[in-house]
Amino acid sequence: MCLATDTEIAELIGRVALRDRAGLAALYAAVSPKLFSVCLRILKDRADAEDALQEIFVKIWQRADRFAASGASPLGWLVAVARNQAIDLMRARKPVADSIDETWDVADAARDPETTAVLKGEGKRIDRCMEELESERASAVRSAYVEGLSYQELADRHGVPLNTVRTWLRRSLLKLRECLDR
Amino acid sequence: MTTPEQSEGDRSRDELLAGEYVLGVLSLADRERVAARIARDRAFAAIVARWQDNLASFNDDYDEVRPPPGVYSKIETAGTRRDRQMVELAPVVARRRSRVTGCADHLRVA
Repeated sequence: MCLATDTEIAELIGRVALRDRAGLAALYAAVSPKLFSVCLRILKDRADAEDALQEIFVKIWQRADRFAASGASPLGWLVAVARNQAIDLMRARKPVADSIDETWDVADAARDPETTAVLKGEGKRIDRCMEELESERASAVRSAYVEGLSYQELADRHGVPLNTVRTWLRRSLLKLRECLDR
Repeated sequence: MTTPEQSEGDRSRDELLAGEYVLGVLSLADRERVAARIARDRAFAAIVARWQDNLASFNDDYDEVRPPPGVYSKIETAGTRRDRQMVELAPVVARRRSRVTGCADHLRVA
């Protein structure tokens, strides 16, 4: 496979942001195998994965101008677009229960400025923090992410009640955040 | 005014919500609520971006799989239909083979 460097991918996204159609074709050639893999892992169906891949590149064309301000790594940004698209499609195909508590209004809240701090590469530290979780919970976190599993699917896979798996995941996220902030 | 305790609670709640969104465990309706908030609340968007960055090493689990030929031309067609900015995308098909960089030979898409 063609392993384009971060710099090359960032340049291609920049060209797409400037409405450079050849740039989009080159970006497709460079990263579509990675993004197609994301679609396959999450959707588990080739035809759905191909549909999702199309949608993803239309979105990339429409949103490439947002990449520069995102502070994300170029491949990380592209994979996030792909995962969001694939997960949205999966949830539309197989609906799951809402889980945001009624009391958790999703209103804006005033926040201290540090939360808007520029991203720094923390990718390597997550591995150490994952090791601090119980192995079954770490595995639930990772498969939720990689396969885009819902709480219900995780509960079925691990043979535990829905509320239990939800508690696992939420506690794991808070532990990870605490570890990453340490 | 919020008390420090409340603001700490909001912070944890937002961390969880952003983390659940990035993991992907939420329902479609919940995902849409979170996406709408990301679009209007820059501080919350930064929390989501941080989770995305933190969990990005999981992306290594996605091996590369070449999509079948023909998908790219559908992207051009779909884009033409829905986004006038992509109307002129089609001519690139003809040029692509000569202009795509050298690494693309085995990644030919059409």
